Amino acid sequence: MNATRAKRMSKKGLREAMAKAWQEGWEARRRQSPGTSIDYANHNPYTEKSFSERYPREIADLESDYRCNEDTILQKIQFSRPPLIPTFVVSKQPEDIELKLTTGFASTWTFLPDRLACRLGLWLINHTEEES
Amino acid sequence: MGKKTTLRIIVTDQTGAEASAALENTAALTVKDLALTMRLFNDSDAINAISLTEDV
Repeated sequence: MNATRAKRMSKKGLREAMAKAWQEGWEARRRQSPGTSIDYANHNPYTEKSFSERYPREIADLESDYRCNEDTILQKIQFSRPPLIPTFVVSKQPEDIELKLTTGFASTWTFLPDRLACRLGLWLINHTEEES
Repeated sequence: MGKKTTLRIIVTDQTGAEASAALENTAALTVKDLALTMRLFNDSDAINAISLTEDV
């Protein structure tokens, strides 16, 4: 898998692209696991309504937690269980920033991929500048 | 030959099976790379490890 830099796009465009990628990901996953019965289309976190319904706390956190942008370089990742709080140290001049992804679901980090992706995904949407 | 950065995520799915995804690049990895890699997993997976390593 190669890392690629996506072309900067509008918020609407990015949301649509992420929703599409999310759906395609789920479809691929469902093909791999035919017994899966979840209707993933109804759980797409990149549609604003479903996300706000499912993750109200995350939206509040996102407003205050994130202070970097999508191209901010990851310097270090610390993930330990317990205390189950992943910490991402990212580079941003003049000094590094430490992001602690605390959650309202502190009792467990089960389902974390979805939640963390949602948090990061929505953050990307909210922090992507509109095309001029 | 330059340095290579690897982001690796290991999860356990509902059946108890372990799955992983690794993103490698000679350039630095970003927050966006992390978000995209994380989306490869199911919301019923439990994360066992997330690591970021650099080989020279």
